[in-house]
Amino acid sequence: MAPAARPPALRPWSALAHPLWLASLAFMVANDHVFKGSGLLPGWLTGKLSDVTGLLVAPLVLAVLLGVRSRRGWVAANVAVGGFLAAVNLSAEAAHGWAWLTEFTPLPWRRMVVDAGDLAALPALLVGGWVFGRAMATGPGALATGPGAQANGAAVLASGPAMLAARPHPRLPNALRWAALASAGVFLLGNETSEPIGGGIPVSGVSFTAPFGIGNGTTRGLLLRVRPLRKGVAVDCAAVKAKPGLLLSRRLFAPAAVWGVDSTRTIDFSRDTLPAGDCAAYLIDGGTADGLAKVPMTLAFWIKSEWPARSIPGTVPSSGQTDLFAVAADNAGPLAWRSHPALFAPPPSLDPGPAPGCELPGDATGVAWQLPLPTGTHTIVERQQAPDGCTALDLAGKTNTQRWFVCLPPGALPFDSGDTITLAATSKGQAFGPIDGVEITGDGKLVRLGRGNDLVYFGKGKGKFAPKPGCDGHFDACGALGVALGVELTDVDGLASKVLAPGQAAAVGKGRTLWVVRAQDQITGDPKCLGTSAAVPASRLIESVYVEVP
Amino acid sequence: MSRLCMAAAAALLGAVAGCGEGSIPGASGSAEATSGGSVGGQGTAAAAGSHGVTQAGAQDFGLFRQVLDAGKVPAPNVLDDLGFFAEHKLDYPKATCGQDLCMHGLVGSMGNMITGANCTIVQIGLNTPLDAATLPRPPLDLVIAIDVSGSMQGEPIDFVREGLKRMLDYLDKEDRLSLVVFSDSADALFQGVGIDQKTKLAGLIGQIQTSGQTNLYDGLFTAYQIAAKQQGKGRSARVLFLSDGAANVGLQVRAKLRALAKAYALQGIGLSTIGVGKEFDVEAMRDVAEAGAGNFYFLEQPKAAAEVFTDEVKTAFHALALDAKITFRPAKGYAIRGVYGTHGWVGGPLGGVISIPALYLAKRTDATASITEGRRGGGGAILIELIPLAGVPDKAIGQLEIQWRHPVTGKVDGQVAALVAPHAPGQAPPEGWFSAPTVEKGFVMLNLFAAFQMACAQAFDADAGAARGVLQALKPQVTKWLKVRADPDVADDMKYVDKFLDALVKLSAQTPIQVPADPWPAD
Repeated sequence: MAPAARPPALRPWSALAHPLWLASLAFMVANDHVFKGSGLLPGWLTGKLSDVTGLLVAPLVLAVLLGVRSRRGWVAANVAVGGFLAAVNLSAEAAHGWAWLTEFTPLPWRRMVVDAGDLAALPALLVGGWVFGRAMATGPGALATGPGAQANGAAVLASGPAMLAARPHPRLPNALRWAALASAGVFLLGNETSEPIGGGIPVSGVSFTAPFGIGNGTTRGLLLRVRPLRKGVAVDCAAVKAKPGLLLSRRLFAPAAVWGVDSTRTIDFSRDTLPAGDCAAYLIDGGTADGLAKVPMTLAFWIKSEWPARSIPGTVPSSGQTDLFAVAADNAGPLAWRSHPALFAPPPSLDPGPAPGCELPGDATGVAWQLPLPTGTHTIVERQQAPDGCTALDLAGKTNTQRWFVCLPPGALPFDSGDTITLAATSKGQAFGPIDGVEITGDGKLVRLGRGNDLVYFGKGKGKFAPKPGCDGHFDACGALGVALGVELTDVDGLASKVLAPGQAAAVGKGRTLWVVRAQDQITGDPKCLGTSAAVPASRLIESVYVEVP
Repeated sequence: MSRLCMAAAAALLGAVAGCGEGSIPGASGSAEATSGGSVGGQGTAAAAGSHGVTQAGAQDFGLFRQVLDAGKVPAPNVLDDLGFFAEHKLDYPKATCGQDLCMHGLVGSMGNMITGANCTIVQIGLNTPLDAATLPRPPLDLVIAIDVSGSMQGEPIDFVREGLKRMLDYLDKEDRLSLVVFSDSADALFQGVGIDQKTKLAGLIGQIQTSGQTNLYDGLFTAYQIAAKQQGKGRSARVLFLSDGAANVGLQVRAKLRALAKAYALQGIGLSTIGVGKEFDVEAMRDVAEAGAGNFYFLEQPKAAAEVFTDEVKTAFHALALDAKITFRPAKGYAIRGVYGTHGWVGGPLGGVISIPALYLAKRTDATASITEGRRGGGGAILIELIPLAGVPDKAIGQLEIQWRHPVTGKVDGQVAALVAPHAPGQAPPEGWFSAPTVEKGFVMLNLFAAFQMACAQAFDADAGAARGVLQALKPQVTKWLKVRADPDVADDMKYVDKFLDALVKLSAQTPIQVPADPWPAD
């Protein structure tokens, strides 16, 4: 008994040259990039074409990528595509799951629409399954030299799939097939919006991926003003978490961006403004679009690791949702925010003043030096002192004389006209550093000045920082909050344990003096108000000077 | 954190509606005013003729005007209360106190012109019986530091040269002039040349050339070094600092400029600053002038250089008082909500001190005179806004005290005034009550300032509709007041209310409104 003849292996690769597939791909691209929104075709038609062409193109791409060789495999590819379409259009959870998965790809889907109406396009799978199934079974035919080779995409569509199925398809160079396959893959993955057919009734707004959204749970349109933190503002997230409304000043926030939010819709309010640090803060208020009612101001604050980004539906759910800050109206009463663990009372309109004795040094106080630093060895041609503590040193180098300014506590610069000095940058802190600093040396003398989260290096000894008792904080002119620190010096030879306040100095050895110019914990910081263009450490700001005079 | 909590509560208390801040119905869009009644029709104009006295700091709000003239909306930091008030001449009772400086503590109470909420103000006015024309002054060593960076090329530097030459006519022959030019670095073009050598000076001024970048700190430092060297017994020294840009080379820590000016002011060397064009660092120049016990001017147009230079010579070199301190303690029926017209207030709801580095003669002498040479030199006022505390029958408002040091003799002088109203706190009659007619203008001036400031802040915060609501609420009230009291300063302010409203209409149309992604982007 002769064995039954095995059906020939399918060659999906060959079907990539099929005119219907190529025409579908071309039409899908043209539809999304030319027809949609152009007014050339009605909206319901472009939506329909998008779905139909997608269902014609996608199964064959999948079959090629998976190396399908059997009819069973081809059917499975079609079922997989159909099943995917059905799942994301019937289940918000499935759509959100897919959106979450695509976050790990270069083409994340962030605008999913759950719409059962899309399922009306499913019969296109049957057409594609039959036409391309035959094509991949017969392989390339002689039509490449026949009259059918002249058929263009439009004619193919017009003549109907049945006719096309009966015809062998043309030869196509492999390079072109690869190009078509790649473009189909990219387009299918990048075509993230699934659209309803025939203007079907939407069941959801556009979902997005973010830690939180804001939802309009009222029956009226809202205009919301959303203010992110100003650029450059640093926040000690762990400290602020305790009382965000009291520790963040309104002045730390940037001007508002205005969002228009229709009833029941949600917005991705942190889009493009989520800060790079460990936490995020937004000051939000607004009102109804008609101006008749206000949305009270609220402060959104969260630690990013505690609230990772997730897929958020485009429509406010009827029940409370943890990833949504929702505005609601109490039976046409005043608008209010639904209670949420990441929403807080906003900061007061005026920052409170510091307790007596807890004031921080103003921005005019502090070490400073002119940049760029003229590193190397110079002779001081002239030294001119100003009463604000800044000194102008006219430095003669090998080729020219230049003026360099440095600002130090009075008596902390033991160099004069005629001295030769060497300038160098330093990052050496007392305990762990690094700091941003300068070393001036010459004639056995040394001045080391710096700013950072540690004292400048002063040799043997330790410096410990502790808040001044009774000092809660001081908001500066930019709204940044600092807490005054005392610096306790221990293990210093010849010096009993001593606490230095900013502005004080202590001998830390023979001919060795340490000045503490500024010492504060920065709960929040803004370089603009700290007298420096350098980055502000998130938690501690120490400015100090160490002088050695033999 | 308990003190912070308490302080925050106090700050919130302070945020209730009063003179300067109110709740405008509607989160965005226009709003209707709730009238607090007319503020016109009371009393008679106070005596004109005494010279006003102006504080060190901003002397105009020219930059604010320029932005509005260009059809744009000013940023919130552009409008400065000190500069705004300085362009308003307030006629106080004649200066007959017998001292060089007379303080007038005046009081007004009525609904504000924006929301109608109760507003009680204490207006502190200063004037003097002295006259610049007869007031002797010691010979002056004037050091002028001019920004000659590349951006000053052309018209700006031409007008500066011309203004400097014209200024020579107003200096005395015993005075001496030094000129520092700065760009990448600072250089003294000449030092200590007597004004009697006008031809030589004019020639040297004509040699000023432009190039390079802007080293503000070196320019100011060098000018002060020269002034300090020349400061001698029986002579005074002063620095005039002019720039059109922000520092981009040298020591670029803005606060250090302020510290430098403050340190030299304590040594008796005053500083005035002049900002030119649109690119200069307005906050730096304004703050430095205030710290340096001097004036800040803005030149809308380079050709105004001559006016500013001559104004400065005519009045600012006549310091009437140094290191002035005004103390105010409200009576038990009031708490302080805010203090306007000064940057030197340190205090809280129960009182505080206003520190003023220097007080100078103001140029204008009559509030009703038409403005022919610009509004600078009005003198302004300091306004303390009070919150009436309910249930206190005491009619006392508070006690005002001023102390100052004579600039030549160093003698400390002072005055005290007790302020009393004819009614209990918050019980002013519907038409309002003012202890003197000039308080009405102060009241209107404060309302205008508050409205401008609120509108700037709201527009900057993407709420142009609310900003329009504030100005639209204010406008009819001020117009009504102007019908009763013709006032050239306020009438001029109203032109800028209209320009502001026009600019806000444009801004409203341009404010982008973000919307959630459209689920049917094309269909």
